[in-house]
Amino acid sequence: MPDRVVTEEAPVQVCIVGAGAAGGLLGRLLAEAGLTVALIEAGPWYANPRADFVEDELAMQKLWWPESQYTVSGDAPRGRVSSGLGVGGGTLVWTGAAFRFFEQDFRVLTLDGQLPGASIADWPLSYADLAPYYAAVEAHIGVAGAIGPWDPLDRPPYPLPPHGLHRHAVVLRAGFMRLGLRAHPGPVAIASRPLPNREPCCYCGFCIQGCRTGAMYSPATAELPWALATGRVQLRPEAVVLRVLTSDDGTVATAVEYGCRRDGSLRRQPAEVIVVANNPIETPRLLFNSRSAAHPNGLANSSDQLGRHFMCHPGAYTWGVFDEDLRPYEGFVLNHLCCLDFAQTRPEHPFIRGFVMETLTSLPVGLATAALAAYWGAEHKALMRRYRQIAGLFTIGEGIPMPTNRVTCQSDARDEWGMPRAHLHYDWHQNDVRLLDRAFEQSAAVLRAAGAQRIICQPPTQVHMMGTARMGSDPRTSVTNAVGQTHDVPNLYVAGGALFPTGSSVNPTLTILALAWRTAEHIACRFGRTLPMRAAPLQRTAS
Amino acid sequence: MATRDALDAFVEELIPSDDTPGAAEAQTAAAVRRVLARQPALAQLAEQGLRALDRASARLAGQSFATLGPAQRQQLLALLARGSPPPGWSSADPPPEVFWTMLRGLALALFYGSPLGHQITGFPGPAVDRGGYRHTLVEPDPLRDGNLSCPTES
Repeated sequence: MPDRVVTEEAPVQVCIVGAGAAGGLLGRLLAEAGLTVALIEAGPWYANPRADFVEDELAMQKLWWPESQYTVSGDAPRGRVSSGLGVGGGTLVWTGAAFRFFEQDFRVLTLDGQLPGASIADWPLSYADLAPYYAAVEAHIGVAGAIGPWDPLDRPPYPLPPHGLHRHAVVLRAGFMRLGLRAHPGPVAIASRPLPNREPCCYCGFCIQGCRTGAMYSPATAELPWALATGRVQLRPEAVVLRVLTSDDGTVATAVEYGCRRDGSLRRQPAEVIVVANNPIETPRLLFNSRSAAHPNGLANSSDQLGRHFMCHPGAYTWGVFDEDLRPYEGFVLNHLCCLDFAQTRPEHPFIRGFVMETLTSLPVGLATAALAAYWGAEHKALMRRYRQIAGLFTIGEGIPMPTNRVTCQSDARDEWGMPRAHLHYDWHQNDVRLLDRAFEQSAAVLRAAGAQRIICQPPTQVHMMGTARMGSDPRTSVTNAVGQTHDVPNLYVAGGALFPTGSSVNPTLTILALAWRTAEHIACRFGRTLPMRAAPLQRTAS
Repeated sequence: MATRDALDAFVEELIPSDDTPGAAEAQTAAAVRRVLARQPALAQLAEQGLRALDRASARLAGQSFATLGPAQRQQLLALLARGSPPPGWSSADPPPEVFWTMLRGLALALFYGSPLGHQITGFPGPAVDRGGYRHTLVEPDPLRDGNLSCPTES
């Protein structure tokens, strides 16, 4: 670290690193509970989405977390990380899919056992423990859906009615039905009715690149205005946290040190509680870079589990070329309908766990660059001329955690602030490979049954980073406890997908938010406060 | 840019002209150069990759990439697409898949994100300020009429 002047900020009660899904929700909940909060975010705050975002796929690439920040090794593919840069984090570029995990997803080790080379672990909490938080989050963020065949019998109704269907979804539904599979409106955090500061979805098709209407939930539009209205939140966008500081004996986290991108200054933010809510690459990187004499292997890493057990959802995205005009630009891109019939372990499968299929459309640039990644030249152009006849399935499965799939820090590669960059090693587990084979096969069958004349299997990819600071009951085998509090430093917490011991087969964001709500409740309790929002939160308006 | 011809040829090979315009008519290579001029790291990656591609072409046929015939151009692009280093590609050059993914993606995005690209795909363009596509819902209420019947239990 260069010897430079560090400006000390006024102390706050809670400092949150990263204003993504988890950090943004935590910031608002804690501020409304009466706590002072500093929310430090590496990217900018796009406060006015209608003006700040444009319907231009290339121009909005800036919302994605830059992959140049780290290096990768291993045989798993190098699909784009599903994380964003800016207030809102991954929700700047997400699809709104808002599934609850299944009851079985929390106890995979008990149900399916360990696999060679894997590090499957049961969660330190159950579905029943998380169910009230799922309900609170669904109401808070506005999930549209309808109780489906895979939902628990006792789950409450979805807070918003499901969206209607455009032509492409109706065509794809027929494929599921012809095979005797079930298809149902996927739960999405996309407003089907007006919500505070959010218009109902107008079905413009420009998702995963900043939602201009605010229909799709993001803390940038749905949390920050309310958080700031409390007068207790200091939002510091374009500020990169470089390390977490502790007391000399390492038992108390005291402050974070960060660099301001706007003026190059270094600042220190003291806080009574610190929450690291970065993405699953940056969270371990920050904690590794915070090593000290008291924490020589990295902060909160006495277990040597930090950075390990990285996992994603292996992706078997499959596209069908149909004879008819499907107008794929209508609607939202993902999860008009989903099929969760294969989400759990089946005895006839040569793998454990499962996969889910969600209906998928594309805009032209996304189709040209990602979906048709295996093509170029005349064949690519011929397919692009049939853009309006192409729709597909976003088929993802449960990736298996392995201790050797891990994030480490490089001593010889530094960022603009002189801090070591991250390196990710990621190999497929044999279970992932077998699951992908079956997932492609099943997806292609659905598309053929729907009438597709040609099937295009996108090269296997991965999506949704998880793991790297897993929660657990045993401090020897996990980084945090069941509320995200690190075992080693009691006033240091982790939030986000890094906490997951296993990853389910469904999209992770609702679970990230539900865990964040639990963490917020725990932190508020430390200060003798309670969270104010459990009843009819959709009725609230900005003060 | 010493690799100007190689970039032109690369982009035109990606998006050929047929009975509809391709990269040549859309001047996609010029658009790529404009983007790279604002992004030094990407420009360096493109420059190094295109130099390596010219070197590979020389090794293959004693010519630059731009002067190769279609079959040989396709042969080299196929190697890049597979992530296999073409002949003469050294460890000091960018990883083939990194170079290919970046430059291919940039050229395709500029072409298919342009009004000309929209004409070719039939994409009607931005929709929010036109009110979106609520009016084209074919099933405004997906729960009606037993549309969600479950044919089997799995």
